[in-house]
Amino acid sequence: MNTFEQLRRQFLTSTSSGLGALALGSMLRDSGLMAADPATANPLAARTPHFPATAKNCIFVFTAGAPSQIDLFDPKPKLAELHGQPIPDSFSEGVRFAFISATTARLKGSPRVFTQHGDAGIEFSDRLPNIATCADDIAVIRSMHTDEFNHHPGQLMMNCGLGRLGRPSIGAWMTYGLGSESENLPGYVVLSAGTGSSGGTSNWTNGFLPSTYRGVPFRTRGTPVLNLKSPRGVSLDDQRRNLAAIRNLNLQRLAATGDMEIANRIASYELAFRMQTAAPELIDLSGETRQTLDAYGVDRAEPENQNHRGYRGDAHATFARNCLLARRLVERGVRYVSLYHASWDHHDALDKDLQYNCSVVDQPVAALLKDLKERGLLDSTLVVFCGEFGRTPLADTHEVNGQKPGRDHHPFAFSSWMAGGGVRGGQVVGKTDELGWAPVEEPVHVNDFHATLLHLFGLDHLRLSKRFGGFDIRLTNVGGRVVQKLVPNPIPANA
Amino acid sequence: MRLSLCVITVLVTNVPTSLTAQTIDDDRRAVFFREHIEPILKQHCFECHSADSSPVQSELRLDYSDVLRTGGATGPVVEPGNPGRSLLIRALMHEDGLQMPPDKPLSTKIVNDFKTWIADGAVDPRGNAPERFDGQEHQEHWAFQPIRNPAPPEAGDEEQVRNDIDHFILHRLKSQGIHLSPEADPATLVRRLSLDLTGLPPSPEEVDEFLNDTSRDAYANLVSRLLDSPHHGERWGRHWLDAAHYGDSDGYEKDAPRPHAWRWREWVVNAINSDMPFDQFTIEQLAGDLLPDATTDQRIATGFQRNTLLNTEGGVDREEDRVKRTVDRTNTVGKVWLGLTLGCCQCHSHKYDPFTQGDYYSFYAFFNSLTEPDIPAPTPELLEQYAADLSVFQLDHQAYLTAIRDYRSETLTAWERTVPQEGPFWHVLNPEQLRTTAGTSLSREADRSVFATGPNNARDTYVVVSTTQLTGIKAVRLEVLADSRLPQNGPGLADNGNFVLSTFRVFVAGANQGEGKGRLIPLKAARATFSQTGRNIEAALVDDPGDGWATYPEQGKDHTAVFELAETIGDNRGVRITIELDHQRHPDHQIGKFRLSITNDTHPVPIELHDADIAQTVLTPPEERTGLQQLRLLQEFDYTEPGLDPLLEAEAKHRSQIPKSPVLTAKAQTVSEDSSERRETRVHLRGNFLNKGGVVQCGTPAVLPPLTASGETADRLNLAHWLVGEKNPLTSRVIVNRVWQRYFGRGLVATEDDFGTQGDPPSHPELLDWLATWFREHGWSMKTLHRLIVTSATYRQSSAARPDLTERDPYNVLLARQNRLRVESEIVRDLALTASGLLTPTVGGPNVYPTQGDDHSALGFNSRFTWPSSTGKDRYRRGLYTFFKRTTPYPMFMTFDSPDSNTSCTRRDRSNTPLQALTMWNDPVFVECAQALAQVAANRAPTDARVSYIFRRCLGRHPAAAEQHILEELFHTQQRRYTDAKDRVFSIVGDYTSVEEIVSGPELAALVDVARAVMNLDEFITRE
Repeated sequence: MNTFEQLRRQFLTSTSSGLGALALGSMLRDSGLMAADPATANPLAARTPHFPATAKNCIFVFTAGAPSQIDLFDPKPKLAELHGQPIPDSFSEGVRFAFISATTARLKGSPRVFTQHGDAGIEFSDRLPNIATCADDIAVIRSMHTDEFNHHPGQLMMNCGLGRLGRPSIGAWMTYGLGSESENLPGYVVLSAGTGSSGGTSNWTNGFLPSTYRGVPFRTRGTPVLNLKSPRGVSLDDQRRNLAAIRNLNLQRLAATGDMEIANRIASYELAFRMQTAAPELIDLSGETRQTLDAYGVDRAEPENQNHRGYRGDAHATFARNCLLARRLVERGVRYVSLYHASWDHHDALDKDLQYNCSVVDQPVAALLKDLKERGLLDSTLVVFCGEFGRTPLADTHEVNGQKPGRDHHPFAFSSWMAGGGVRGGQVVGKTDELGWAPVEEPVHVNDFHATLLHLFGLDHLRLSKRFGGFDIRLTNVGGRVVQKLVPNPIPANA
Repeated sequence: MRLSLCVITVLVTNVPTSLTAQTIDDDRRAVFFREHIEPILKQHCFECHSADSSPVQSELRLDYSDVLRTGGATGPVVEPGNPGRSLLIRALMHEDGLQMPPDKPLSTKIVNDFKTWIADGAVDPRGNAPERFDGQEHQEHWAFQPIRNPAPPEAGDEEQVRNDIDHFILHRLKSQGIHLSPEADPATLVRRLSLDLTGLPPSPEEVDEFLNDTSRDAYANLVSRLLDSPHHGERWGRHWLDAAHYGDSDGYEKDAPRPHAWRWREWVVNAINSDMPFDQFTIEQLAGDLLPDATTDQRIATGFQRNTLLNTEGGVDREEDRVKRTVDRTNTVGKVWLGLTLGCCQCHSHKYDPFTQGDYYSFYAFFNSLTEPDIPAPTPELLEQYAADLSVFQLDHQAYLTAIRDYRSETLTAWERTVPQEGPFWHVLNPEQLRTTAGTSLSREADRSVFATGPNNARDTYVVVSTTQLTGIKAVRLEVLADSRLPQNGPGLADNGNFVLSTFRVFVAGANQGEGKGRLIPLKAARATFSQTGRNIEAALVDDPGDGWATYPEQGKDHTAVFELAETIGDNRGVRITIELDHQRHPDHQIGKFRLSITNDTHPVPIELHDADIAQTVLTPPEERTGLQQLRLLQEFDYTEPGLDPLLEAEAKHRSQIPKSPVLTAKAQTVSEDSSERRETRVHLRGNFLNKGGVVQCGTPAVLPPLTASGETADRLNLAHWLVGEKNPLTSRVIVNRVWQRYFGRGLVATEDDFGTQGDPPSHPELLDWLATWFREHGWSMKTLHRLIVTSATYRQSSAARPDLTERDPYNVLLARQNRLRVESEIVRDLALTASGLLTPTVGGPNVYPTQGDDHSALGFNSRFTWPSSTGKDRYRRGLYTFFKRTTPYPMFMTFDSPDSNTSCTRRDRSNTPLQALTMWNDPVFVECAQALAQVAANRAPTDARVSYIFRRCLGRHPAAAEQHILEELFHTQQRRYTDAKDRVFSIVGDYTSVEEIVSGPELAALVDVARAVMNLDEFITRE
């Protein structure tokens, strides 16, 4: 009797015993009916990286719309001196802007006050007093640059490595490469606060990778995952009985057809059922101390609506809650958490609206860093803070009608920061010229930024690739260079 | 070996298999080259010294390590270890009369880097240049060879053969000593055929009918019935929509809805249902507009090319976006018809396939002069309805018009006496000369207003020149005028009817004072009847291109601005007044219609002075008045006479309800050729549209048979004919392969989108060619091709795994069985709706909006978009008709691997995730289906047959004993539990008043449990 027949008989006698999918998997593997790669049974099973990693989990704070680096991270005293003057030709030659015109543009200094923080003396503006207290864990990159100067392409560039639709996002690549350590939750979770971003769901797309690796948006109201709740009137016990019937019937079919995809289907239903209980537990904050809730600002009231760009009633509380959820997700083994906050596109009224946005993000992000650190999670959790590009050292809006000035899109230089996950904190990488127009030292292209990020997770950006449409495509497109100053285990220079 | 490796990647759900630990060991010198040398070569040298240069200067190429080593016409340019003797360094240093780059020497730092690099051994890690593509090897690639027509080989076991396909399959199997699987059982076959040909499951009655039909033609008749079903076009239309990347919105940030996109979808469904031959299908979609006397339908067909995304984000570069759309068209046609990855050549000549960058842009040139008109496309039904509605409206409307006419005839004469007959007045300037600086064309209208037309894509300055003898001129009036010819009725040319007047300038010169504008007269003040918030009239007084006067949201109305001069001008011998209206804020916000007047009234000038010509009219006896005078007089009377207002308002209100002509409302997205001027096409160096290379003409890749141009240059119509031409080796192969893939889950060429040298070779090359020839010889009839494949014994086999083949053919390349395939997202929905009896099977029509989570569409930027949830029968339409919003698609579809519609998709993923389980299990749409299915079972089946009836409605077949047992047990357990918990029953069963006399609540709730279990089985969403 061949192995298949044996298997069939085993099934016919064991169907009522509710054989678990795992046991099933091993039976099939032993029988030679299942491919040797165990990942086939669970595409999200944790996998070993290319080389030893310092980071295991990532929390990526994306400030969509592009925050002004000149008013937050990259102080420019000379620019303030030249405030109101036209832009030198050498800067504007051949440059396109979204809205402003190079002939009439005027330089705009920042009214912000920058002070040094931490042992390293990193400068932050007075808009980020809380994040500044974490200076020694933070590595600020002031020499970021990108290829795109409109929002959606820019966000795709920052999230997927290329300013076109169709490429997988970082989180998709990361779960594709590493799987997830969470048994009861998806490997890649997205949390949004405030208005939507230009890119919408394409910012967390799986691109051409299987949909297993798409970011799963947890909702901010109601149940956190779509369809997580059993139908009305159906108790968890009913659901469990339904699951058992589904499993047993699927096993019958598996025995009849020998198709391993049915085993995957069984596994999917088992995880779905576990998520039904694990996800509500995740968002239940009743076990958190009052101190923790207040540190994040989970109950913060929204300031009076002063007609802020992107104002949406509950951004302060929602963003704070999302930061706390991010920690809880990471604790539960979720590989990659995206935190979105949109509306940083300050073409006008920059002073007023930047204050509002910073007030949304500053306290919770700082609380997140400290909370992770206290719990010993920061060493293995990389926290990233960035937008899709920067803003011009030039004023955008004209004041004839009493509009307050802002800044236009600026792809040539902007700032981001990383902390935790083994990143060498307490340093500033890169430098821009005295106007903040372009990097003059250690330029970091978005592809370089991604190469570095993957490196921290033990992934070689050149090898994490997938063949699609005739190419071996990777997150770093055709570029990418690890920023050696940021990583604890730099690539040996002359091995 | 290569073949099987590739198949592994496909089947192993694309999980990386080779992530093993290995330390990185980059050569320091290689890194130096990558960071310091290669970027400089790319930036300064490749234009003349790489494979893409034409010609390569001095035969020297620097784009790969071997060609760099070899050097050019003057021999090697690099001597490793010896910078001093390297020609490259001397050229960089501009010594010896050899100066590179020729324009300007590079910095000393860069030259020093080159010296360091050469001194260090001139390590170049780039690898060798690929062979040039004039080599025999590439020309001989199988896919570029003419399609052969091999005779079907001996099958060996002729009894198993049902048609010629089986000869090829059996011949190959026999050579490996493998036998065909038995035919699938009839219930599986009828469900398989129904799902494959119509995307809908068979009802138990349809299954029985087939099972009881013992005639020889039972199977053939079933195939015919399904191919004739209008649902066949829906099923196969969806595959084509994937390839075209159809969507109902623009994509990108704004992602505006496309209300007319569905007309092309309708065209596709109809074309497939009428079995339009594929060559005609091709020609009409690619060049329907170029056919002689093109019909509306043929123009609608070109909507294929309107599935490109459109970025309307503020500040986007329109030319860049147009180029992106053209690139998309080029790549999509290359992929869909030719199965080629032409996209690679956008930036460089193809690394592997024999296509150059010049080939790419020659292909691109076919699409480079397109315009994108939305044409009127009213259907006959709509026109008929409109005619009826309009006559009803006109009868009603007559009463309003009569009331106004009566009022006028009673009061106009009296009113005329009240018109002041002495100044001051506004004097309308006669626009004697009209000029613009950026291409808008201005024309004078009868009432001396000026009307603007043109591209409206560049910041324009209007120049209006008039002469006048009026003296003491103190102010200029600008009226911006509404007009039905303008977007949103104007007065601006922007899509929303707005404009931004950034600066208003007045110049004066003596009438006889030569050419030239004369002196700029400073402006003192300005007022307007209305200004947009933040865009005040004062902004037009100053030379600030970033701001100006605008009137949004009061579009479709006239507005007036008055500019007071800082000094008085005029001369009774005449002066020439030149007025400039400058639009610098946006490239598309010009004024659409305006009129200029002057006055010599004292300051401050009231806006509402009477016009001089009205006074003139009043003085003219009525019988001598011109038509224009009469019209202006009535306009003025209507404007100033308060007693008329209620009548005018009532008339306007009623008029606003005039039925809209479907000529205006029912449109279709099409493309057409810009007849005014063909755009010159140039190669975009390294894919950058601003970096233009040599000019190219429309043409097809040189390695393929030549295209015949009908005129001086080839056009899209020639291209379409070439694609389906006798000699084209690709189109027919690509199409039959893709059809094959739908039926077996895998094409004869597994890389269905890459027939180039990097793609997989066909598993059955003779069969592929035989099918391709057969398809063409049978008039490109898709339905005939479908019939051929589904009636083969190969197709009819069982899909059960073959333990004897798990090692020999683990991925079933040889087809000794069928494959089990999870159905596509839309079909998952259709299955649940059909099994439950909820489906509304209407074919065709506009989009519907089935229930979805209320949070969902707020995730995109355009969160003002709300999902207008359909009601009634529209909630239960097939998935095909669901509005597809590109940035926030219907979540259930995305969970089941619908393509995102941003690029062409010729093969969908088949993932298997917990989110799919949650959707099938708990999504209210599916729960409603389970409730409905339980009721159908209660209604139609006797008590003891309800469980098996549910099973059959979902899966077609009867349950096996073990299956029946599992479900019965579930049913009885749950019925007992619900009897003890009656409060939950109502929630579980939903509204069941129609069956409450037949079944008890707990019994029905237990049936819902059974329905939910069966509808969540793998088999339910699988084509076996």
